[in-house]
Amino acid sequence: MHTSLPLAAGLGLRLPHIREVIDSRPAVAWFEVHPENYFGGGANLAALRRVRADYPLSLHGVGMGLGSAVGLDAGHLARFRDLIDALEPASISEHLCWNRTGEECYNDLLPLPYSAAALDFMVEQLGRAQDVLGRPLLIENLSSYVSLVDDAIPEGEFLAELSRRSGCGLLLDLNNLHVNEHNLGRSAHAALAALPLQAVGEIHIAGFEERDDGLWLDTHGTPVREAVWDLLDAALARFGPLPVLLERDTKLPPLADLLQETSRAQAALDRLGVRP
Amino acid sequence: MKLDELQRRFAQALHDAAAAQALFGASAHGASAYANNTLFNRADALAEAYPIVRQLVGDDFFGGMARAYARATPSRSGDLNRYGDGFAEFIRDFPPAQDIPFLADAARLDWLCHLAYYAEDNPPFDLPRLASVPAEQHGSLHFQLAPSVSLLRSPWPVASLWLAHQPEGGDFPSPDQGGEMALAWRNPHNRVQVRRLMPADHAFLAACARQLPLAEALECAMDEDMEFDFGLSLQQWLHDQVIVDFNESPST
Repeated sequence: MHTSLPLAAGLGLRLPHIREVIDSRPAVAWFEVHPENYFGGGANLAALRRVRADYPLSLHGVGMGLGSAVGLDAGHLARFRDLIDALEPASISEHLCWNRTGEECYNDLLPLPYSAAALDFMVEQLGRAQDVLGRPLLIENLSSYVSLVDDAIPEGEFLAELSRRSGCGLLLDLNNLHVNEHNLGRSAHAALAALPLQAVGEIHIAGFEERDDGLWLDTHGTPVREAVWDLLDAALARFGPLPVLLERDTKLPPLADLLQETSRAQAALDRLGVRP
Repeated sequence: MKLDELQRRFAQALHDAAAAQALFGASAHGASAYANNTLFNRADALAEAYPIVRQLVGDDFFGGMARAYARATPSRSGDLNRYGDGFAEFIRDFPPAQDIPFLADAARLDWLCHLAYYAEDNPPFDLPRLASVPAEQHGSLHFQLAPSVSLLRSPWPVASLWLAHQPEGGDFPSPDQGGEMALAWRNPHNRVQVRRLMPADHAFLAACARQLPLAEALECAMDEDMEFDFGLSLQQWLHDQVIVDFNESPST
């Protein structure tokens, strides 16, 4: 196993809700946060320590840019490591992406080409990062708005090979598969079928929004769509019970709405006969 | 294509339709989503870091100014909380902002508060350890400021301006009432605070920041005000965790 998260539904916790979670201790099996919001010290970290005292925690990085050809950002990795030491999370994860050139950081999750050379490079960078962090990462498949002319390996096979060679686990984002199917014509079910059963350590579900020209944007700004709930059932049928996380990053509704939506993910797990 | 070349061309394709077509083919229309994310992620980070500036100019003006800065200024870190350290200088030279001559200094104070918010935690001051130092050695001690502490000297009443924007209020200062020295830091309750400093207090804390020993820091303060009450000021700074440690030699 790549994580010690419970095989239950968790919720992505954003700063506007953290006080309410501390005060009301809602019945959620675990929480996931973006570590970058807790780098350094102060009120954010103090609040997160209180959450961690009551719940298993996952640190889900968005800023490492593991696949950047200029190499790893040692300062960023060190701050991530400090947070791991401070919080002893049940899981740590990042994305299959890059974010920097030598001149500029784009603060976004930019897609890598699915080529043999990119795979070699990711395996190398991931090995270095996992050495610094002291434990394996889960790596999340991306939603992508473009295909690259160098793409040669199907997404699912790329992820399977990355996991086999680097020892990382996979964080399977079902909304991203769904968005990619619409934007780029990549089959979500083919990706599911290509992933090795033991490699997947966590599942993400979220919502997306449509741009005027028909492009789907992975904004995490709406409830989960029905097609993604269907994918969740398909994924759980294939991989068995896993930690399932609801992500919501923009147009944040009241916490109660997200708890309600999280309980639907728990119901999907319960149908497999699993209890948290 | 080598990965570093591909990533350079990807970056170019965010703002160049022909480059996008060459790299992304039929999916080239998706490149604008990345250009948009990059721009608005940076502008949103500035809105978080510069709340007083945003209140002074309103959301629309702020958004336009933030996007102008974001277009001109690369981010260097995957952590967007580190983005925006040059915004005050940009505002100083931004033609549409010239109507508010104190805006750049308000931005400076916003940034120092932002740094204070995310500064490293520090252990509380060890009073028993200080009590164990013989009195004749006090003059050679080097007091250490908390990692969150910053000082700002401005020709505008920036501390009063900041305080006027807090929930507990404070009178809105007249911009031409004269300059102020401000202390920004995070208090023991993890709240970022700003305080207007008297010249002697500012001189003392600035001397501590320069790693001067107590005897010399006191001289700096007395140069500003012969009546400087060190005992009273020290008591407050220890209580508020402005001064958090001391060394027997300058720290590096």
